[in-house]
Amino acid sequence: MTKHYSNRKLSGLLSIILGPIFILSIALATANLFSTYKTLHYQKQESIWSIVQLDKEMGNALFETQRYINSGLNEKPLKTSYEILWSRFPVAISSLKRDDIFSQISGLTDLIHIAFDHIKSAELMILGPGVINKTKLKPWVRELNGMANEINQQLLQNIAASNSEYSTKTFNKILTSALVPVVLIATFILYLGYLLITLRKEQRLNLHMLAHDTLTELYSRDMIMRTINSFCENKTPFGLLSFDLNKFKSVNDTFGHHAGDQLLIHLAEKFKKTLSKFGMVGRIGGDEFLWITDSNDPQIIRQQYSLFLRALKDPCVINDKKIYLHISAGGGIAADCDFHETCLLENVDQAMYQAKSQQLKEIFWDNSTINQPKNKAAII
Amino acid sequence: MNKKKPLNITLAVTIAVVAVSLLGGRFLSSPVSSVVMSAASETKTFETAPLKPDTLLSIQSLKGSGCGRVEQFSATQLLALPQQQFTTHHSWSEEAELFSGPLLQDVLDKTCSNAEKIKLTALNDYAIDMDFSEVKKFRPIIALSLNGKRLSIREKGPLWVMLPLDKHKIFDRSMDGLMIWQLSDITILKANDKTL
Repeated sequence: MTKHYSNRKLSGLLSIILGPIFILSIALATANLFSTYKTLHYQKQESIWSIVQLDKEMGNALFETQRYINSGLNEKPLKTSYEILWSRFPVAISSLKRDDIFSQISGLTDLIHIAFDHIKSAELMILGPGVINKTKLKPWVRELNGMANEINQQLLQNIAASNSEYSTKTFNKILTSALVPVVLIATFILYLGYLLITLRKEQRLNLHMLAHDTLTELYSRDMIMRTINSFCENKTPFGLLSFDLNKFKSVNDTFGHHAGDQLLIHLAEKFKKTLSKFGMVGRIGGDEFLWITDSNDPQIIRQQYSLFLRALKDPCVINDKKIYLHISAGGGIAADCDFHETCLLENVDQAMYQAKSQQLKEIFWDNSTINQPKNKAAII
Repeated sequence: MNKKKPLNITLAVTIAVVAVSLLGGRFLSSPVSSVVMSAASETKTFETAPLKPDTLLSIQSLKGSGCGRVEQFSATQLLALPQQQFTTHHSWSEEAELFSGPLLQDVLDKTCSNAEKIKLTALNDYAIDMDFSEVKKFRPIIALSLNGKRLSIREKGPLWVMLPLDKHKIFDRSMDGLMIWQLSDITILKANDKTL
């Protein structure tokens, strides 16, 4: 029992925490998606910036070299542009290395490394003492030109083109980050659905419990009173019968409360098999019952009641002892009280007490019902 | 009454979580702002002077900037100014490095005190505009040496504008655009007239 209780407590706590946890993880996953996108964007900006700068300096170095070859006058601009170009390579290489996508595209990084080696190979030739050797410079610059073109080509094919390796890899990366929030959101929706179904089930159970008596599964006092109230307000014609189990107290006292309960259940079974088909039977108190009939014709009600009496001849067996049940019944018709709730209930109650004091087997009808048959007929 | 309590807690937790995640999202998606830097202006009406052969840095001023003087600095002149020294991390190295050189403020003061907007140009003609009145407080230097060695062009020298980032606890890259390397020219775009 305690274990069951603590389990319930735990699941209650879980249901409180689970919602916020879901919202938090969805928020985090979405933030992660945005930050992935932004990181990629910044990295791309930086990589492209560094490659464009590198490309520009390569162009500049090529131009200065060509000018030197053609005129042969001033070495200084060539040396400066060579040094500037050199300084660009480590920056470009490190920004490509930092870039999540560019670092996966091997072609471009390889080309830049090869070009850097080519630049380094000319250090002595360009910066060394003495006049720069033009015949050695010519093939070097031709090769550098080829490399610059290749880097440009790579940039166009692998990055700028819409079906490029870069686009595919970026798309895949973002798709992977998007998968987490999508899965989380789907799970959250499923969780909400489960919660809704559980709540609906519980609500249905609660409503059933409110409308029914727990022991006999007949309608509850509350449900019967509400029905009478709404029928009276809408002036729906109906008959009301009050039942009382004779000598229930003595059964309770001699056989015990459990026997009393069984007796009530036995009685309720008989009600359900007969009278419940023609209206609603509810337990009002200990051994008091009310029957709201669909018909308001005492003749028909009497016929229906006789079915119940026949069923009641069947005794209730408790501890191998046959107990025969006897019921006192008082009846009234709603129209006779002009659909006045209190009047009807009082009349029916009085009729039931009359039946009890006279030990009647049949229904004792409220005076007004017997006295005013014409009125009743008019209403039908 | 008993039923109401967990509902209140759930509501409070949910609101807190949503608020935190919204704040987090805002923080994550707020762009790195750089108020002090903008793309370089295209003006070219300087008061120029012929370049001396040992010049590392030349400072001109824009006509109507409120500053008329022109100055050229050689390495010796720059090293003669009070030298600053600091170690800092920066975007172009994994390790912290030691930079030394004169304050940008001191170099500008030699030409034109109270410079407000300046244009910094590199050897390859790359240029940025700097709102110096904003950047001043970070005490940027014009670094001549790195880890005790004079900067070569290859190592982003001979002059590299550097900010003591670690000292100001700037760990993002918001200031990267300001730290122009291979600096060769400064143009004063605007100075405060009042003190002149």
